[in-house]
Amino acid sequence: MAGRRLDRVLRSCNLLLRCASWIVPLRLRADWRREWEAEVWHWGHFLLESGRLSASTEQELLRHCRGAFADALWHRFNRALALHYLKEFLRTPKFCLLACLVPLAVVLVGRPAAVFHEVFEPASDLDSEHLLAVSLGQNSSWLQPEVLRNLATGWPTQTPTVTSEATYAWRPSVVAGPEGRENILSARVTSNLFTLLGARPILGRLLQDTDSLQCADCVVVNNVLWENQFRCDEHVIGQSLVLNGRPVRVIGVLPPQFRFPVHDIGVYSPFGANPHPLLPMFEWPGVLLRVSAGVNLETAKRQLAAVVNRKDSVPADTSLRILSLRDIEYQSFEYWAGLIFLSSLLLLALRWRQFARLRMTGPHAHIPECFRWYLFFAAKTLLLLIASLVGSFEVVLAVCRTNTSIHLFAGAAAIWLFLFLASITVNWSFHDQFRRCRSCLRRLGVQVEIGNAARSLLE
Amino acid sequence: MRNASKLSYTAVLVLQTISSGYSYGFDVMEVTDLPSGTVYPILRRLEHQRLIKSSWETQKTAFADQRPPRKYYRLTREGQEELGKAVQRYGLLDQLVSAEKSKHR
Repeated sequence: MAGRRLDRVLRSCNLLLRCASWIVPLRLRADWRREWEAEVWHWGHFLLESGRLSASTEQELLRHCRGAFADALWHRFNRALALHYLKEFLRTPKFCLLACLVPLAVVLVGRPAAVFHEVFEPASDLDSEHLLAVSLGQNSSWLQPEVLRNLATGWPTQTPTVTSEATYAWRPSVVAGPEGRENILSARVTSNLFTLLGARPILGRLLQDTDSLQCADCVVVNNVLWENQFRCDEHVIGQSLVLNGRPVRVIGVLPPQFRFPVHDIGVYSPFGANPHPLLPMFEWPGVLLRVSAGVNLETAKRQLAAVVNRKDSVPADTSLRILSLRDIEYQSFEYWAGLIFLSSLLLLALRWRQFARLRMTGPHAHIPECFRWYLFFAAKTLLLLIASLVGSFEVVLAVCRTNTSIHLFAGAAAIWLFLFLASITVNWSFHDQFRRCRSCLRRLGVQVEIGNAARSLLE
Repeated sequence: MRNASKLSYTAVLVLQTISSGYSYGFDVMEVTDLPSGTVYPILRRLEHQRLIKSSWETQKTAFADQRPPRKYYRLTREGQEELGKAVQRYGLLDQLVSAEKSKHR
């Protein structure tokens, strides 16, 4: 009777042990199970022989067998081995590159990064294939916006490649609203500008021909200003703002995807609403033109250039420059890319001593090792520079969102921040490289001053 | 090998039990009154730290007694040194295991 009872208990225990053994790594499994089964066998027989085999001791034995799961888990997830593996993995070049790449990927995949928004993203909803922008040339003397407007009115009739035109004059401004004062760019625009750009308001209406006379204090605000000053209030129409000390009334709000092609304008007021500016270079005029469908943009530019810079129409010392929106986007990209490239080169050039040291202490004899050594350094430094660039733009964008008055200096702030971050990261990149094994590129505990160091020897 | 100061009270208790002659898992559990889920991982860890060493009983001996062979644990020299240091730290440990020993034998 007791023997059968013991058999039953041992069967149950062995079933539990078999289940637990699946957790144990295969190479240890047989040995582990053998040990436990032997222990259970001895325990069971000890209970049987001593006459202590009862329901309670059976439960106790089964409870002990349940402890085999904890033991099996220890084998599978051995903390010491896991920590050792982690410690070793942290030293590998793979981890270093992953650590540089993952945050960058998270930022870029998570949402469009500021740097891409500012540099690469074309103005949405704009038909940049059919738009030209005319502005004052680099060596041109200043021109009153009203004069340019009068000139531009005749261009569509003088050249068949242009169907419509709209004039604007932008200036740095101060706007005061419910949320306080804010530095922005404002523009006086002719009423057909929004039609030319194909913009539609999300609230209220856009400017009309009659507004310059009948609604001189009417303004249309962009989405950012609506968000900052009115916290996206849908009853914003008719509310007041103070633009450069003059009270104005909001009549419309532009959609978030609308971007003025040339500058980031916050407030649009009707052209002719203000008196002529008394000081030269107080406002910067420009004209946007829509090219006829099917006309090549370069052809249109050439034909328009002949019209706009005619001696009899343009005042002396004034020259007008014609650019397509693609040119403007490319100029922006060229400017940023050039600035960033030069900054990076400057940073690296300032560290010529570290470069010399890198060359001196790096591997020399074995060409594949040499290649790996420099490739790893280049990849790591490049990733860190990109991460610094994206990070600095993101930080500046985040600050601009909370404090809109600094957005005029955002570009300069981003570049300075990039230089600061890049300086730190490049320095770290050199420092990290000197601490790596020349053969396997694993990070060592000490800085190494000799070439082709054997990791095991140094460790 | 780890420093003795890193050994927990329970680990030192298991070490002391093995030192007292209780050389397999269920024996250690019986003496210390610790559950198997605690004792076995400690045994693994101590073995990993080379404070104890395990060895299988010979098949011949076990076969002669008509039972499966058991795995025995014994202290290594490092284990004895660590235990000596730990016992100084945990003053009552020696008495505790001695009392258990006399109770079980």
